[in-house]
Amino acid sequence: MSARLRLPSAIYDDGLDGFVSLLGDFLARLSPNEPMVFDFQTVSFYVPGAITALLATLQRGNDQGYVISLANVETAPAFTYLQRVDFFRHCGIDLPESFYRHDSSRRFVPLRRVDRSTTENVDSISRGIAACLFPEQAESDDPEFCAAHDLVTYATSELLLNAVQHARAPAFVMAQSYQQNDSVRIAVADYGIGIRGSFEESRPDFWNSELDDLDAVQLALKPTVSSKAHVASGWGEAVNAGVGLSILKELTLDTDGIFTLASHTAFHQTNHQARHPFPSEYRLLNAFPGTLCTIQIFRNKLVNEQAMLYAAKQRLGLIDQRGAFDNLFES
Amino acid sequence: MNQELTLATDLGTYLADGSRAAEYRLQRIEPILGVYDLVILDLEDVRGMNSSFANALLVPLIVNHGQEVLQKLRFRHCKPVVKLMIEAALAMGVRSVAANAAHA
Repeated sequence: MSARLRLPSAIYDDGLDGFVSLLGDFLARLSPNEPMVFDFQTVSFYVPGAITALLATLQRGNDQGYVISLANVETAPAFTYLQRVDFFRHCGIDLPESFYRHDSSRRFVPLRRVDRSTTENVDSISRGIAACLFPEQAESDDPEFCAAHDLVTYATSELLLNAVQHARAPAFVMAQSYQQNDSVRIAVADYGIGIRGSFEESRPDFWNSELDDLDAVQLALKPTVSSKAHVASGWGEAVNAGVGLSILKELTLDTDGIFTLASHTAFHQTNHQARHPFPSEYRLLNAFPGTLCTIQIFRNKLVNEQAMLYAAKQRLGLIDQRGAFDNLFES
Repeated sequence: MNQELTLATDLGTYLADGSRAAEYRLQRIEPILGVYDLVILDLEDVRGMNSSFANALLVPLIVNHGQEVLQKLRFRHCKPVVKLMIEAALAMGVRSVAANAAHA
């Protein structure tokens, strides 16, 4: 007897809450010896957040010793796309390819697995992703011209750092550019201990055992909160003052974009496309087995990374009057 | 006498990893703070820096050594966006010192 999950046909940003909850529910209902089947029959369009979340769930199940199989993958409408982004390769499945692999520059960045043992560091992975999506901007020094490249580098580095520093498990990253609306989506999903788990492990000043996943997510989105702001790293020092997620959220919203953060039973989404002023925040019925953070940004709203960062930091109260430290800078 | 550290050579042209920043601070900056009059961080060719790196590099310097450490630090050849990240980290360090003093 096996349990079968028929995957939904399409997942957009506004369906991520239900999707991650569905994945969590499926994983939670199984016993370790029960085979699980993920049925791809109707899968046609998934945003990067959904693809990374699905891959993280499969890896979690695999690590926990579940017997996992994928069904109807070769007849799925999204089969070729999932092959191109290396989804099946990361699942350990080697399928014949009936297409020629063109250069993916300007279109997408295939899935990558990132963890503490990743040889390449976060800096170069982030630059590599930005250079793939915006190769013409990679060598430019003009801040107006290369705003998209620089913002993608910045955003990817913050997303990856959170996963590498906090998750205690590998993460998957991918990015996709959409020509029809001139936007970019970047997603990072891990199958680790979650944001609350990271707080519980490091016991920052604000920790108390009654914090739930949503409380933890809300705290993580405050500008100076990080589970790693108070504790020693391998070098005996704090490694992160915890402003990354909050700035990233502000920058995303400045492009009228979408910011999504899901961690176990917590879900947060601020969607400027939905044109309502408040974020959607709630507790999911079923815990996603890790943390997913994904953003969508619109290129036509990107003007200058410096100006956007300054505005974001000012709104968050992270920068004082400009010029206060001018005497420390030399040309 | 001054000592200059070239971050693009030592760490690369995009600085984003807080762990590497902490490692660099402890291995390269802290040991020479008491030795030289000025420690100059040269950021020529550094195209960008995220807040995680800037904060991990600079906030603990101010928290551990007090605001006096600012008299020994200089930043050279910063692009505007890099200067912005450094200014925000310095402001955070100063605020942390003030908050710690208030709690003492």
